[in-house]
Amino acid sequence: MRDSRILMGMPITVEIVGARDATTINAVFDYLHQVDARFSTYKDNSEISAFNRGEVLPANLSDEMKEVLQLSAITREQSRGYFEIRKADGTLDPSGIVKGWAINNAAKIIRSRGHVDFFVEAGGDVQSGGQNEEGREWRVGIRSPFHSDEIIKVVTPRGQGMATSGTYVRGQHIYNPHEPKKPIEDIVSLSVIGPDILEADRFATAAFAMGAKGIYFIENLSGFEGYMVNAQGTATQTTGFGAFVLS
Amino acid sequence: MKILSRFAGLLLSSVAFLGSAQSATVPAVNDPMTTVDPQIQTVALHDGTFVGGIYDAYYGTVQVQATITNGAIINVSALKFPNHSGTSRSINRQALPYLLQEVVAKQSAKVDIIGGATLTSRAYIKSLRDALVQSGK
Repeated sequence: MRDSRILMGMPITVEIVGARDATTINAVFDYLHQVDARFSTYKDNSEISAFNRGEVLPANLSDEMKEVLQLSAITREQSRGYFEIRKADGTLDPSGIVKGWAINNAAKIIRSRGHVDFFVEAGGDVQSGGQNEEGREWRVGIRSPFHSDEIIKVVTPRGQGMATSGTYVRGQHIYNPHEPKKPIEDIVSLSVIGPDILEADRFATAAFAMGAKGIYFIENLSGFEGYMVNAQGTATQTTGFGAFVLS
Repeated sequence: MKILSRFAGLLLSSVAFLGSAQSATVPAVNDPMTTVDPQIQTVALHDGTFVGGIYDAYYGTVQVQATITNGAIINVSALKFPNHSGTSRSINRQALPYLLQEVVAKQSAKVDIIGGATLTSRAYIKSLRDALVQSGK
């Protein structure tokens, strides 16, 4: 069973192989709806917006918000400051980590209900588990940054997460906190495969902010592989990425 | 950058929506590296295939072609983009460690899921605008 909906400002697809009804898929979308209501900086009544207006003390934040802010702080440390949720105006925008975090929790909901063969895809980030309907490994295509209707790589993540940071049509949402005025233009897309989608997403976001050097950051990160595409259409891959490549 | 990128999204959705209404909303673009004139002009689209200009923006050379049928945009394809036919592989000797490089190439294998980012560069939008303006003439 497969369903796609627009949530959190992006198309989200959930497939659960062998699901007899929509109970689990609905539970996943209900959860993602709650995440959006809490973390959306576009919603005035979200917890993050209230916090940014100074209406909520840090101690009174929800456990979910505390967890995301803590993960953000850890990622900032691990990326030597390249991952940064604090914007120039002082407000916090954790959207660079919330998507991966939410997909990861959605996968936990699916597994907790006894399903092993599934995937969750949100805005190009993917967590899969088990096998597809044909009993084969899930095959994930990496969309071309130049032609949205083409794929440039086919990989089998084999239970790991794959996140991509890039200059999306939705707007350049990633910037280098060390040079906030300078747009990132030398690379257009960086896909990262990591232990799960939360890990892949936070390090894809951090590495993309490093520009062309980001692929070397991923290369040196144990348990992670990456595929970076630059503006000239040249891809650079980490030494272990080939093990995931189907074509 | 942000304004222009949002505008790009707006343009594409406007195009998709207005295409069926036999007109398209086209943003007036000044120097793509600096600003976008917020002025909007509406043009009626004539049938045919229209090729936009070649733009050597920061991204490289980009040129698009728009196909209009019954006043609606049927297809937009890139004639030139930062890519070359075939796949070449080389070892990057500029930096350590040596990482495998290749020119990105379209894959036709069947997939279950599509991930990754999509890019609408400023040059792409500018060339698309050209094609639509030509269609409106």
